[in-house]
Amino acid sequence: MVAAKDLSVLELAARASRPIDRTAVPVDVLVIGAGASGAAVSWRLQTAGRQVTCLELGGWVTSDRIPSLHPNWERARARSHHPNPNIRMNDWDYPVDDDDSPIRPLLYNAVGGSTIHWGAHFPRLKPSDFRVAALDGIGRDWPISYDDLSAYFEVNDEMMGVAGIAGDPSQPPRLGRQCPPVPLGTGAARIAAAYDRLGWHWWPVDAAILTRDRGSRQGCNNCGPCDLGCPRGARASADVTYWPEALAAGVDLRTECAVLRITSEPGRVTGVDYLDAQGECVHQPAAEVILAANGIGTARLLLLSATEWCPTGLANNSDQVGRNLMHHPTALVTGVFDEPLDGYAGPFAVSIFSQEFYETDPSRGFLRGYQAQTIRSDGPLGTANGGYFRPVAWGPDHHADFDRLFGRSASITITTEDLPQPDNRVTLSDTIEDRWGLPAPRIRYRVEERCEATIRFGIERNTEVLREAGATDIVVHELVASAGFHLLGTARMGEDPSDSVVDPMCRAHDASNLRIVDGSVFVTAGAVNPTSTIQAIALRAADAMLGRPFLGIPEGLQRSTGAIAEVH
Amino acid sequence: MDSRLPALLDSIVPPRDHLAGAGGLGLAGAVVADAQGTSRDHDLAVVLAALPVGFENLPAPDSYACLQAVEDQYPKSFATVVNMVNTAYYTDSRVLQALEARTGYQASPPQPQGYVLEQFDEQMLQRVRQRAPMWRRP
Repeated sequence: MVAAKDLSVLELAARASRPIDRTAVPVDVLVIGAGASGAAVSWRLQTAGRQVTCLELGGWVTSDRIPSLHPNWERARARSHHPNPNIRMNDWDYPVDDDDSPIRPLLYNAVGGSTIHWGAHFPRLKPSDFRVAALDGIGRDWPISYDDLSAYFEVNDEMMGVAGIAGDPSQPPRLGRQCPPVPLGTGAARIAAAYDRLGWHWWPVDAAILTRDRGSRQGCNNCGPCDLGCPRGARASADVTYWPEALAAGVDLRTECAVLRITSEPGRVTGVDYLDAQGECVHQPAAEVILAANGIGTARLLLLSATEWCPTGLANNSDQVGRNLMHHPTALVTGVFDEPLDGYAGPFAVSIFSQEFYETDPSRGFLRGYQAQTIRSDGPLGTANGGYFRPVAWGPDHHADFDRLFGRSASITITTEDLPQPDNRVTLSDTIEDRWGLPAPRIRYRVEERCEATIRFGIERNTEVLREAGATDIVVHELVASAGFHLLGTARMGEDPSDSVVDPMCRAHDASNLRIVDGSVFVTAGAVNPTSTIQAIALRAADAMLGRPFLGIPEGLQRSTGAIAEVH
Repeated sequence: MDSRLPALLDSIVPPRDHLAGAGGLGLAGAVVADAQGTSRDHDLAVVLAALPVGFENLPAPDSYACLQAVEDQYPKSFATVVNMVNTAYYTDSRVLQALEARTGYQASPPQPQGYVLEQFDEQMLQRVRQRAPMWRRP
């Protein structure tokens, strides 16, 4: 008998074999995944006249199930609603074989995808992020630019709803946000004042959080744990932003459907095989297929779709599917202050950020830079178990230690820029299967030395900030293991079919009617949260499918001497 | 249930003011339930197996010394047990009400009440607004 570790991708993929119970009526566009990018692309195509069917592995998360309404909300955060599927182990989850990675991937399967559990920090990649090789001689350049996406960023902001304020000198000009910034709270205000005294940049973050009522969504009431979901609909997630409009336009959204494989013939895809909510195995023919299953799920599905004509995986003639996995290696510096900061109040992940050290300065000894993002503090259980700081002492000093820490800390994350490394990759696990018997995705990942140097520099700078802000005790987490929330690069975009998976319009080089629109297509990672860029790329890919002229520089912004100028 | 478990809980989170410790509050059952069917069950068993017979009768200094030795010998399992005890204790309504009385932190869930915070004051940006653009044009 052959050991699983000796099986080829093709043989592992064969485990997905199921007898087909029925073949469904062919559909026009089939989208796999109803998260941030799947929702955006579905809405754009359907409202432009295409007929979209979307298959989602998870179901709807109804507001009554959101833990922040219930007394045990902090227990849920640590157990049933943990962002790591290996800890959470919900029925809708697939496990991730992550033993060979210092960063644990976080993801969520539901209508809304990982936006169900995100902190809603909503920056955009910057113009220089698309030209890393040209500017700094490392990594690769994207085949598209910031300007190609700028109008789509604005469309997306309008759909998601963004709080923030114009005039940030660290960013290119852009149109106004939908709402004023989220409140800073005492901790972020102290850190902002410290940045001012040091002469460093800071700005209120762009957050996909409504700070005032908008339509059926209520404004934020600063409850804190955005990562558990938002019963007010203030914190944007794709289920309360894009999906209501997409469904009203006629998208056929099928939930609790596990796609087993994308079916294909040489040069094109023909549809998918999936298990529906009743466990029936359905072949769904489709004229076009769009993958939007995140940087791990998409690579896994392409590998599971290996067949005779593509024995190493669908769209994988370049051998790049699953390679170049990028996160944002993240450090955390937490300061404890001698006064209450009430840091449990307010959206936990968003208040202010600094890009003082974002762009390259070779004198620092490393290329590229980092973003610093201020984080509020925890509830009582999070404090006791040491979420941001260290676990509270057990035993006779327990209560005194708890009192010293609870509500009195503020943290700064150091988000560094990952660049593509071919050996950082997603493959199919030969030891772990999901509940449908399919190989789990397996992650192999190492942090690049350049990122480690960036982290060391960032820790020094942010320790300086926290001391300037008045912190009396500081604890450093040099690499946050649970920071695998950004899954990028595993089906990268490029002009050359020999070293990329999709073209600049997100069309697979090897399958003319297959597109990929999630974070997999990122060429480099920038050092900022990627969701707004992922969604802008998805909207642009939809316009490419529609044969529309691409949206240009939005009204309100104009070109001036080669750059974009802001018009307020 | 192991008769040493309430004493173990009390040694990890002792009484304070008028509130009993984690064991005295009757949270041993919650810890056992939290462990059941998970890898935490193994960690709890490891820690309990390392406790001496009669642990529940040890005076406080001896029980702390005993637990310190267990932590030194089985750090991962001990940390998991501390995590479970904290989880039971800091989600208990009596503990949260005492915390509210002491600090003002609301004992009720974050929603629907939320918190009132001061709106952002744009004047704070006066200095940063004066900076020249600091993003690179490729």
